[in-house]
Amino acid sequence: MTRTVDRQGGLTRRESLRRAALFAASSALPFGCTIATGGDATAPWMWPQMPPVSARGYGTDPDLIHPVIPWPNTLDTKSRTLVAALADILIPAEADIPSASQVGVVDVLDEWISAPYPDQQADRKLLLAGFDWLDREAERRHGVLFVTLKNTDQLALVDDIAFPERAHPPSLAGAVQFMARFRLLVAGMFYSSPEGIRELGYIGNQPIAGDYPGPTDEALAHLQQQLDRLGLKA
Amino acid sequence: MSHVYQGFGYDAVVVGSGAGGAMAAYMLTRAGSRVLMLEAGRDYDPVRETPMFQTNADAPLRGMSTPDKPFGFHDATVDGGWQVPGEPYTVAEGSEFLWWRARMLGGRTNHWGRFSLRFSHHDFKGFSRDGHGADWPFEYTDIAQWYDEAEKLIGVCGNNPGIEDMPDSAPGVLHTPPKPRVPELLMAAAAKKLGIPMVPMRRAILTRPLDNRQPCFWATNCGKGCSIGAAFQTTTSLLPMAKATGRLHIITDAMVRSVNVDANGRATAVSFINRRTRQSETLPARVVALAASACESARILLNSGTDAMPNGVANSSGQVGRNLMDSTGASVSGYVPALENRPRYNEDGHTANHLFIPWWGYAAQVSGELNFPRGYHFEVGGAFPQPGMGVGLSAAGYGAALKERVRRRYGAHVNLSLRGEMLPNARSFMEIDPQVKDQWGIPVPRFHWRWSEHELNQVAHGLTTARQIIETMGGQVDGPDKRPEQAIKKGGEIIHEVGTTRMGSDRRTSVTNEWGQTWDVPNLFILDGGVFVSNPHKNCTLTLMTLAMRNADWLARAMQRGVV
Repeated sequence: MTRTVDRQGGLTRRESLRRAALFAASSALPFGCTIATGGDATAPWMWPQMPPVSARGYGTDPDLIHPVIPWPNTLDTKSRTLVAALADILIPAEADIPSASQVGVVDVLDEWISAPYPDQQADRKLLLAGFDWLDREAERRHGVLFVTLKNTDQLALVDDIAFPERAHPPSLAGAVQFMARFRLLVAGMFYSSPEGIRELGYIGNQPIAGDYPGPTDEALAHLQQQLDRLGLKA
Repeated sequence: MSHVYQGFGYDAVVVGSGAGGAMAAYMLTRAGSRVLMLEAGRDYDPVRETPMFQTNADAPLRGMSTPDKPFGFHDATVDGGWQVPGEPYTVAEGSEFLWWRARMLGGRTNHWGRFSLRFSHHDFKGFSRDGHGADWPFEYTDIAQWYDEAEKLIGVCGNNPGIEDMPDSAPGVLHTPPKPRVPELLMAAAAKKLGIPMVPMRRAILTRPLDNRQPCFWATNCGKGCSIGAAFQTTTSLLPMAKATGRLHIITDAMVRSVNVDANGRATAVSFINRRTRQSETLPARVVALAASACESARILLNSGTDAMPNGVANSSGQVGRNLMDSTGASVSGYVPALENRPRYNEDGHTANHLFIPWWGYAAQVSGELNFPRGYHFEVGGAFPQPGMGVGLSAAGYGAALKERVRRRYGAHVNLSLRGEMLPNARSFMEIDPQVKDQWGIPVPRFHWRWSEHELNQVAHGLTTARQIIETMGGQVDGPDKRPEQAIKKGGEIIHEVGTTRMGSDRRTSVTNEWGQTWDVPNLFILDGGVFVSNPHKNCTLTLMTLAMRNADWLARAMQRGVV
């Protein structure tokens, strides 16, 4: 599934043909897919035509100590590159905390959408459609794939779809839903990694001898401030 | 007369290795009887198999639930869930019911919540108090000492708060409960303002050593199982203790189909499918104790019918499969700004709620202020959890703002899970499906289910109360208000199903006497939750084990006297 990109970063003719076949008009487009025209034109949302993942799950009695993931990853290199770029826009490196892609989120997301379970299969459909939409929208705006955009142009595009609470043209509904789901997954994957756990400041999963120590004095002082503010008594 | 299996002579056959069966085996072997135990699932060793310190990142899909592992990858359950491959059940049209099973040694005790609340004098005499359901054939005072004995044996942490809903344990029985954490203290203050008590939860978690089991070291979710034995499960306690007597022999992968009863109305044998060979085998038995779970034991009785007993064994009352009850369940969660950006510390504790809200409405019931007869409690949540996919729910926007928001909101969510009493009703029961069989050729249960206005009104009250508590904390409830019929969990979803072989003092309206001895077959006993007459809101396992202990003791004495 490796794609060839021409010197300007636009789609090759071969790729355009392949994609047209891959995303041939889907019969179910719940987002009111329209090829918008005029000032608020965006790339149309298209559902991918794809066979279901047919690999085995891990079964009802997996080895919990040495888990094995029996299904293969399925994302192609181009999609993995896009996932890395988009995940790092959501969760960039900051101080001594690495970015989402630097802690392996791309692999976890690939594992996720390649899994043969219903929730993950639904995510696979939405996310693959979203990846495709991002590239087509980047191409429509600037003539290049999303990963090739200047950072400011990437952020401008993300800005248009990263706030579900804002008003959107109907043509963006699919992309907005995609972005919300992608963000939820990427954030969950990042913050459950050792580096994400360090950022959150979770302290636990360590044996403590004797009684449970309970809250620190600092934590109790903070609680008391809040009780006072709320007019509550312990 | 003893029987012999592969050189092992045995006096009694116990079906099931979970809370009831293991307790029966413990009591019988301790009294000198030799027990052959049949377990449908595979052998299981928590010491070797529990993923104690594994994190979500160590699991496929970050440990999230899948159809293969409905409570998440690291949950202890083996070959189980609300669906078991090759072992279907059916649900009558218009009903919804979910039947959880675990196919493993120790059954559901390997992953249960360990909440261990005694029933009170009100709970055993509900009918006398409000005219609903039926009374139990004994009073609280008759089994108070047995509660003490069971609590001492399994190890329960908690205290005696001295409130109507929570009878005291004898001095020295309970292990010290852990200190409450910040979200619980804030919620307790809010509840107090509303006149609602919040007290230490009682859980079957050791906080001091007991037998070969170590006290809790305040880490790793109990649902994974507990390799150090701090969280009670039969596979680290009752079963090894019973085995140590040399008088317990366990056959795993033995799926019991029926109990054979002779023309004199005595049980003579148990038939099971050997899951490895797929062959049917029959074991002669002098005494049979069923503890396969409420619905599985009722299924066995109903599938044991003969020409002389077409309605199944021990079913002259017609009550086998009837009176099926679960707990009511509903959940309300919210975001509490007062908990934002609070100082970090280790909030794992014993990984469930250190405080909870017991039922506080007895006076209001008596004075007629409430439009539902039976109570509920709240199990509460809110802590710095071990981060998992759920953290993603806090994310919004992107970049530095996203990260700041996630850090700020971490540990600022709370939830209240309602668990309430359901009254038995004529439209909630199980029977045998006339067509469908499982992969072992055994006819499967067909479930019928309806909630009544008693449960819906109770849940409505709980939803309102939970909202008041969260709002008094300065918080905001997630999502729109739900109607009780939307909020209430499905039948079977709380996994507290009981009542299908209820005990009583009248053989016309019950399946067993107060000792779990079936009225019709004197050497056939039921020692699981099937014997429950009502299903108080307090989670069934502690009472189930207490009854199994008391009744196995009675059975051991009867066997010694030659009465059974």
